[in-house]
Amino acid sequence: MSSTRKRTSRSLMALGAAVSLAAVAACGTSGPGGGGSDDGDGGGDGGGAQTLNLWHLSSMSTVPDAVQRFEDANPGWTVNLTEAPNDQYKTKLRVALGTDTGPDVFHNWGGSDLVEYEASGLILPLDDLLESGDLAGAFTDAVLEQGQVDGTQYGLATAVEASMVWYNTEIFDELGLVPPTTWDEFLEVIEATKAAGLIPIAMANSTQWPGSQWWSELVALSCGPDFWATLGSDSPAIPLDDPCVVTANEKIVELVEAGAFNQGFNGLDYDTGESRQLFWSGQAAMNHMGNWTLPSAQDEAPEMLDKLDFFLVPAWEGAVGTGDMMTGGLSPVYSVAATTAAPDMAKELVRYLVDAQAAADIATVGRIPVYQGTEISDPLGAKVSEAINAAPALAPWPDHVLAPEWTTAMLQATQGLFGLTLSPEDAATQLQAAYEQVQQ
Amino acid sequence: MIRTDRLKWIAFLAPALIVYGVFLVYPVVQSAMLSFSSWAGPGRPALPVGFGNFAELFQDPVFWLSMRNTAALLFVSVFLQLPLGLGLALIVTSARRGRRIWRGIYFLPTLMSTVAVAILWRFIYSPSYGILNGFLRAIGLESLTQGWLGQPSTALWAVIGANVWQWAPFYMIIYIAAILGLDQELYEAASIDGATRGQQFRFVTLPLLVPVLVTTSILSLAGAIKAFDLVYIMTGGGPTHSTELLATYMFLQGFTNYRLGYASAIAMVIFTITLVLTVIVLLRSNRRPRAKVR
Repeated sequence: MSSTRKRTSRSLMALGAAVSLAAVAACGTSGPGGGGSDDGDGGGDGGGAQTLNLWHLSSMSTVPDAVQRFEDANPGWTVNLTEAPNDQYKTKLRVALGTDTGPDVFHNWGGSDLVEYEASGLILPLDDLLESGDLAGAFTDAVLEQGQVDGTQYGLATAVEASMVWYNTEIFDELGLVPPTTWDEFLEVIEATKAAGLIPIAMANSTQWPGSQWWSELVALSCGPDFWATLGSDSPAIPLDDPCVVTANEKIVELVEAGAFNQGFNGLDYDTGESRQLFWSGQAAMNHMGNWTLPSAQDEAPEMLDKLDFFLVPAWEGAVGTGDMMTGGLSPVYSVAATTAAPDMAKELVRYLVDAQAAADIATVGRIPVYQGTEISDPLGAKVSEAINAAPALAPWPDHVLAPEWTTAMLQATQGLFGLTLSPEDAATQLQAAYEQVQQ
Repeated sequence: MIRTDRLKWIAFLAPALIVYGVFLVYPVVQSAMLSFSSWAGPGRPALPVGFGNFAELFQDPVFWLSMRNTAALLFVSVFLQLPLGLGLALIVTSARRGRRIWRGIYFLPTLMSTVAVAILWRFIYSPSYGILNGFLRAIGLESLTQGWLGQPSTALWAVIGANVWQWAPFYMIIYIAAILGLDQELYEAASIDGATRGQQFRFVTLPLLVPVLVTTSILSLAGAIKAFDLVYIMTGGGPTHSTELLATYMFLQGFTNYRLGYASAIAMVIFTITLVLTVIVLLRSNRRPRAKVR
């Protein structure tokens, strides 16, 4: 859900991939091996294993550079790259991981995914990699933890992501607005931009995760930063039908009823740029989105970079969290599949994907590296990095903490909240029920 | 002699049978077995759960919603899309000139790939830039503009509309071929007997088209029950399941929730419904012409 940077040109391919999967599924043949064998990943595990298969997210544009460095340093080894956009990637990985056609090294998001992979024996520990070379001491404990299962390292991250409210400084200046620091000020900004005939906040929620990002951030504000962290544990501190969750739900209804979003947003697609289009063109004053908005702007609307800035969703009176906390997660995280024929070389490839040079590369495309001491020259990127470092807490995105089935229920419920078809109370009750069902 | 005939017979049939068996029969059987288990994907164990998936399925409100949506699509497909196709066919075949041009124009939607159709209609329905809302604004009906695909009240019908647009011409082509193949002497005889054009259609064209109507009904039934691609691309089953069909729900459970056993149970329901409806249509249609002959 979280890391979906833009890929206008690729969305057609993505759709095509979805449809070919559909063709398999629609004939009622969703049996094992249903779809994994048709991906041209070149079958690298034959015999001497001088080839590694790396699966990565197509939005991670600096991966080929890291692979090039690996190949230069290890003559005789080649890496086959297989890339896919966000949602297709997850499906593809799910079907192929643990089979012969799967990757040796692969992108993931850490957290609950790794717990599941570890439980099924699908991944290899990376502890020895961490203790060698320049990776020793390169990451903070908080970053490492996201890639651990019971204290063992299974994934290493290159960058961190978080969501915020991006705004058009030109519009704010024209209307004499300043970034709000309280919820009431936020509502005033919404009202003022609406009065000026603009869409206050651009939104495209047919894929549901943009809305769920809003929601998880509001819940973290409402219930405090520990909410999501303990929800994934065996004994969550606060249940999902707690009044603080209902309050967060009410905030969404408040925003929708204030007319904060563009018409029909629940049917618009973020992936094809239907919300960014409104924001880039100046029809919308704000856009709540992850910090990958920066690389998106570089790609799609470079002229926007001069009038782009962000603020954090402000807290309201009675909220447990504070306005300077953030919600986010690590991406990309790289892990080694247990099926690899060359575990040592696969780990070595991971090193190149997360080392100092990889961090420096990824910083140049507007992402926030987690390798400590990496210089970020882009001023907005630096500002994002500062905000994340200064945040008293980085609450995890809930789909990184909980099982996919609950995530589906959560995505549906948040879309219903935004569509005003589900009441704040009912949404909370449904989510708790889904949670209890998954925990069984 | 008979023996070699049979060998040849088998030799010629074998390739088709093998392909059919490996890619259709085997997966169906495997799906059926899987529907009695709980399986989270390759590398994970498949645990037997008996009828657990089906018991859960029949209490799943989203399943019943997707049944209802599929039924709506099915109803529209058979009772609106087919008559529309037939109507288009009658118009085109009765055209005095330019029959081929009209046929070509009407047939265009079916020639487009579903992905293109879905994206085209997403643009048409787009709240800010779409021509539908643009048209409403232009004629002063601003108050009727909607986020067509973004609200449960309109999303399903918007998607079904696109589906009709795409597939009605397909049936039109089949009907055109059937109508042009009819014996013209029957029409001459009918007009000598003083039949009006309406009566000719009612008593000559329609009865002769019954076999084709049956075939297209089956195609349309099966197509509606298995419908997936257009909806998946246009709405993904949303917002909040309001356009969820059996097939999109199966995909959601299988490839998003990784509940492949549960998804297989849905696949079995789809398979059973299609089978039963097809058999009913076939049985009914086989009876009718015979009754006429007697």
